[in-house]
Amino acid sequence: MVAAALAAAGLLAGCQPRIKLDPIKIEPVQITMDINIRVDKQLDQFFDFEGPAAQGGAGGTTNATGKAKN
Amino acid sequence: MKTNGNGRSGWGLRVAAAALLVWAAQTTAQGLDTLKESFKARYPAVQELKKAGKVGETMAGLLEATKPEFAGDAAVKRVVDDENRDRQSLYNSLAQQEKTTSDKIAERNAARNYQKALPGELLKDAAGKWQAKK
Repeated sequence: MVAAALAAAGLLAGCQPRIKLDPIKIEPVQITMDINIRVDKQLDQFFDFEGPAAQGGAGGTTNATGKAKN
Repeated sequence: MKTNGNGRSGWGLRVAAAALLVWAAQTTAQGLDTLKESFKARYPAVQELKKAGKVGETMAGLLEATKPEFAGDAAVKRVVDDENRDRQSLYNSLAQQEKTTSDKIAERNAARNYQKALPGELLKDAAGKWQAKK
C-alpha cells in the first residue's frame, strides 16, 4: 500500500503540467473591425443628406424635419 | 544606352499605371456622385412609403414591400426596384473599394438603416416578420 502510494506520488510529481502558449492571433479580427469602421464611415458620408437618426425611441423631433421637407 | 531604354519604358509603364489608377478613381467617384443624386431625389418618396408602412428595411440591406398588396402597387414597386438597384450598385462599388464583398457592405448598411429607423417604421427580423421600430 505504502509502496503503491509512493509510486503514485512519484509518478504525479513527474507529471508537471505543461502550458504551451501559442501566440494569440488577433489580426483578422482587427482587419474586420477596420473594414467595418471604414465602411460605416463611407456609408454615413454617402447618405449625409438623410435626416437625423432615431435616438433610442426618443426621437420625437426628428419627424418635424421630415414634415418640413414635405 | 540599354539601361536608359529600359528605364524609359519602366517609367512609361509607371506613368500609364498611375494614369489608369487616377482614371479609375475618377470614374468611381463620378459614378458614386450620380448614384448619390439618384438616392437623394428618391429619398422623400422612400420616407413617405416607410411612414405609411408600405415598405420596410430588410437585414439584406434592401427595401421591401411589407404586404403583397403593396408589392403589387406599381408606384411602390417602382420606388422599391429603383432604390434596390441603386443600393446594389453602391454595395458593389464600395465592395470593390474596400476589397470585400457586396454582402458585407449590405450587412453594414442594414445595421445602419435599422439603427436610423424612426419609431413605427417597419423592419424585417431574422424570422422574416415585420416589426415596428420602438
